[in-house]
Amino acid sequence: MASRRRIAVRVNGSTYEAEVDVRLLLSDFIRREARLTGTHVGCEHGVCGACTVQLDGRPVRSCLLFAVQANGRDVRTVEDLAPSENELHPLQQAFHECHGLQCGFCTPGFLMSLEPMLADVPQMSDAEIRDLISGNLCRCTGYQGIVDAVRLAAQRCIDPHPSTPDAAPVEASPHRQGTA
Amino acid sequence: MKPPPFDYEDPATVEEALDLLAQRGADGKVLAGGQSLVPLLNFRLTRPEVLIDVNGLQSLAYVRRDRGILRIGALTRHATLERSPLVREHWPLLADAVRWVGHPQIRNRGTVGGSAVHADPTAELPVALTALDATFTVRSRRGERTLTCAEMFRSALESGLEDDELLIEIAVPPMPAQRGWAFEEYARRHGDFALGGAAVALSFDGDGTCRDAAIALLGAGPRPLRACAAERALAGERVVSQTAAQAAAEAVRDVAPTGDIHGGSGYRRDLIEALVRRALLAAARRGAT
Amino acid sequence: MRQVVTNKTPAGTYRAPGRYECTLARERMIDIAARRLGADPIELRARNLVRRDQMPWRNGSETDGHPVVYDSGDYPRLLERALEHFGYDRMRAWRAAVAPGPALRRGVAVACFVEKSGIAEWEYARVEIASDGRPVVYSGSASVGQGVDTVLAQICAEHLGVDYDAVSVRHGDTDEVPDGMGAFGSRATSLGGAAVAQAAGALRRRLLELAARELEAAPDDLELTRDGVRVRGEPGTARSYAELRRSAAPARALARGDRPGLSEESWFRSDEMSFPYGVHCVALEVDTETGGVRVERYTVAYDVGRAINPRLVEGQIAGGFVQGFGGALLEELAYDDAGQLVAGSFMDYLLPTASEVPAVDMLVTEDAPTQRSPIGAKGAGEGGTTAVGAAIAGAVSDALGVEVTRLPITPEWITANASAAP
Repeated sequence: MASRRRIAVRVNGSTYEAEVDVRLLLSDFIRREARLTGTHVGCEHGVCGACTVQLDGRPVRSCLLFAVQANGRDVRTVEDLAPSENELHPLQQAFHECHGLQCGFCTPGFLMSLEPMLADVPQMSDAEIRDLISGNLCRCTGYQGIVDAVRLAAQRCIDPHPSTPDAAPVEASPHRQGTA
Repeated sequence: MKPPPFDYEDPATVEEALDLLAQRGADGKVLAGGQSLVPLLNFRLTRPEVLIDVNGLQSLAYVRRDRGILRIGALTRHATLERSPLVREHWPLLADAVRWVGHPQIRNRGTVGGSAVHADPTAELPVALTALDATFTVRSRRGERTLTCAEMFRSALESGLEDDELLIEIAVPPMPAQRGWAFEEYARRHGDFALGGAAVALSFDGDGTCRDAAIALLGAGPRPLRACAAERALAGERVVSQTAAQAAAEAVRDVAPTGDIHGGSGYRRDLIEALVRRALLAAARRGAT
Repeated sequence: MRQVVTNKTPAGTYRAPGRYECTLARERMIDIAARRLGADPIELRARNLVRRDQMPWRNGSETDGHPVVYDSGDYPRLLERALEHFGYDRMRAWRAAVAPGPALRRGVAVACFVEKSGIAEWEYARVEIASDGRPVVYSGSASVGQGVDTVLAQICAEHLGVDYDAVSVRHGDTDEVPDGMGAFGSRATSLGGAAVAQAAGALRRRLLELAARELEAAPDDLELTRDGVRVRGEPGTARSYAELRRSAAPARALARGDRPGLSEESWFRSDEMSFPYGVHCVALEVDTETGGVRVERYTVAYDVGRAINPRLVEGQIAGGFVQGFGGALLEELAYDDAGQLVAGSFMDYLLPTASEVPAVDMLVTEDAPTQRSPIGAKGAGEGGTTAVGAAIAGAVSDALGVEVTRLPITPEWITANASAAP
């Protein structure tokens, strides 16, 4: 009945308890109550995909869920991907190497959408990979680096030490460096 | 805060949900997957006094075959339908259609029942269900009744449910063994609501002629339409270029789609005609193998 | 004076503003002229390109009170290389082959353009040796994700003579960077990078002078390495950057009559812009019943004078291409008759998703460095976008035999004009 409710949501393994307005979106709960600002809020009408998180392991748009709906459930955000402060998740590492992000606003949404799907990627055509990421908008990269990154990450999940990808990493291949 | 204020109820059982609907259904909305409702709330295009969240009704999340009939619980997620081997094998038209719904994140959350009750004439599932002659079991404190597609999809965004009723189950009759099917649509972007489309299910006699045809049109009017005259015209015919083209022309003879910035009425009508023809030919090819 | 009230959405510039539109008009006119003359559209373009020996070329127009003078370029060579990269003859054969459906028609088109880079005259940079001995670049430019930090670090490394990964880059904080114009108009590398090159060059001279005095050697006999400055051929005779920084501390520097610190700044200024140039080639298939467009192959060839980091240039092209693609086929701020915006959400304002756009094939060339900057680099931010509308409009026209004269090309326009076509 009430328009406010006390809820407890597990985000990345930690439980966040708060009394919230029932109309608070999960995206806002994650950013304001859990103070995890890696989840980005873009269009807030379910088109851009920037706010994608995993709810009980499945990618969903957090702007189309109310925080109260996540009461007692497990939410996973981009902050949970990297295994440590100094190490990236293989998918993040591949985005980094393949120039799969520029401004980075859409990136958390792409990562959280793709991460559970990586095992299926090796069997996919480029068109299928593109359909897989079509629920996430990117205005900077033209998607090309992202498709490359998905392939590379999926390949590494099978073989942790693959031969050098076609697309050389940005920082490993500056055209000219060293002495003038 | 994007959405307008509302009261929130999350019943744990169907009985509780029906009580709530009896009390407050007139001023409220049922919240299922929320993939259409929450954008409307975020835009403040709708202002229900109460949201009755049915996501806790896990007893309504199932896909099973019962004496040849496919029974889909209203809370079944699109993704569950998409991945169901049972649906893929026996109701391939439904499996094909659901893959066109939004994007993976949408299908992980959106529900089959929600798509039905939302009754968007440009949505995929109502059209596929119309082609398959699905029926809808709805329940209220007053009792239970079963709706046909024509009763369920009354008009644009208007279902046949009364304010106090909850959709419980969708039942889909078996597709014939000797069958062909196809789902075709065109949207400007992958995952968008389509500008036009068609769901086709054919059954064949031993000599390869069409015994029965079901043709449902997407976006042709305020609700999914069955092209009955075209269906009759195909019975007893071979489905080839000429008969398919004639049936497609017949299918759109009296339709007047609503136009918008993405395509006017005439464009949409011609589009649907082309997609019906393509769907018929694709279905016939499948039926031949 | 007349004032008009409008409730249309305020508009600003973004990525190839003006050039996207005028490239559409110009390249369409050339295609139409070729068709009327019965000439080959490539041949007509090739015959009218400004040649390398005609550079610098005054094109007759003015911008910001300056005559527009194209600084450098080999346009015929780029057109030739673009066609080769694209596989023009192969794609013409593809066009002539039977499409896999009766409703499908194929088209091929090429569009050429000249971009500009480095508007707004100047940019600021400061390069310092920090107390830990590491070089730090402070730039008045800004990162919008294009990777300018990487590029400025590379330029600093090159002009200072140290390793790229030793350099850190700071920007965006007015406490640290007093002046700056920003990142727009393809200027972050072309102007921001030029300022860094000048400041780093000046700092290099300071380091060599200081080390020469400390090591009692001639500056010409010294070299900069990862660790410090040393006498060429005598690795033992060296000063680390941290040592040199301490030597430049106020007490010691002032005692010598030197300027303290190891910090040099530059306000790079150029009255004239530089002009990168490019060619877009596309082969596509139009579905005359749905109005859908499927791109079979798309090539962008772009000469940026010097590609400091080719991978980042490609990132700019790939992203710019998709923006241009949206403008060609999807994106429109549509209004109804009452002036109401009817594309006010992402449901109706259609940004391309990954499914609509093809992978773009890219050729980044360095035939014509600019003399208007010490680094030779022209801007690379916009050429991926500039000619997309022109090229796609050209190929759709080629497919249908009806001339496209406005964008975006909608499915409805295609189906209507496909049935009108001969």
